[in-house]
Amino acid sequence: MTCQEFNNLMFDYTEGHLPSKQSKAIEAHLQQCHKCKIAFSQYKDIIQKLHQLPNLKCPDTVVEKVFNSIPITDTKIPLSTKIYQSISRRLSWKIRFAMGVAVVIFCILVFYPGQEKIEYDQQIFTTEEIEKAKKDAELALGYFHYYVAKTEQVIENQVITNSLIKPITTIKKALKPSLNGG
Amino acid sequence: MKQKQFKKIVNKYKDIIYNQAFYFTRNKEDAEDITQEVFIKLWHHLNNIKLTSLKAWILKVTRNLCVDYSRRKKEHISISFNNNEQKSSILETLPDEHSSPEKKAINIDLKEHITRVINHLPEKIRTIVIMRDIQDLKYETIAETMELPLNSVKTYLHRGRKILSKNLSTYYKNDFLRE
Repeated sequence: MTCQEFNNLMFDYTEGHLPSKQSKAIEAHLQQCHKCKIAFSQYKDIIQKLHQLPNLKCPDTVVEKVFNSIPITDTKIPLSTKIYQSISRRLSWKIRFAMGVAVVIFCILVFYPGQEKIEYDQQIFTTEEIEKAKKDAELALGYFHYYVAKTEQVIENQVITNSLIKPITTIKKALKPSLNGG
Repeated sequence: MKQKQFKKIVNKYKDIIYNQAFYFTRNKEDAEDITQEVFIKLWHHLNNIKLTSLKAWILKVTRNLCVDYSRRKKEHISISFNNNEQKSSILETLPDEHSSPEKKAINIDLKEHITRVINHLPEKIRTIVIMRDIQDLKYETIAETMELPLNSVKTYLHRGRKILSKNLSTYYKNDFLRE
């Protein structure tokens, strides 16, 4: 074993973390190398001296000052807050976030009404589709009344113009499914 | 209820905090101020701290305050005991009963020099040496407090011990200390 290798292993050897084979190699090196032996002896002595430094007692005056600077009366905390604080102290923020998301999703699924659907003639239509159909029908009816009036005028005047023929044809085509009962 | 819990915590951790603060700053008044500040902060944050992390939180805050105080005071290598009487009253209680008076005096001097040289260590290494070799805290606790991997803690500790060993080599030239 070289001195460099010994230096690298000194800490683990001191802590007793080395396998016996390596420990024996170190002991053999220390018997041969005077320099490493002294360095190791000083290293161990430092640790021993550090361990021997006293554990000091905190003066009572410090504790008294601490208690004098905090409020004497304990403000009452509501039970729900205590429960929440107790739970939140034990759960990590990730778990709390996931729980919050789960609650939101649950509320959406349970309480959100969604689109109202109406069944008509064994087909299900949304309210949107029904409203659109109503508007289309109103428009068609509007056109119908207009051209009925126009037709009456023609019959009265006995004049059919081109401007009348095309729209009538268009309306007839659009209303064909309804007229055929579709 | 909170006050009762708080008092228990104060009594449990006051000596740990005071020791760490004292050996870091080497000043009695600063150590007292730091200890007081840690507990006042604890009082205000008690409801937000997880019980399992309480010790690490306390040690972390202590360490941060020690570093702040140290930087503010711009520490130099000097003895910061208040007077000689206090110095000897602390170190004379150490187990050296079978040594000769001469040896005892040299050992006291060495230990004083050690505490002085500890002050010279970089802040991170200083904290780790104090927590491990003086306060005998577990590596896992130190790693959690310092927010370092376990191996880094051991590396810093080894480095600190080597620096101390190198700085104190003059004491070891004297045959009296070789047992």
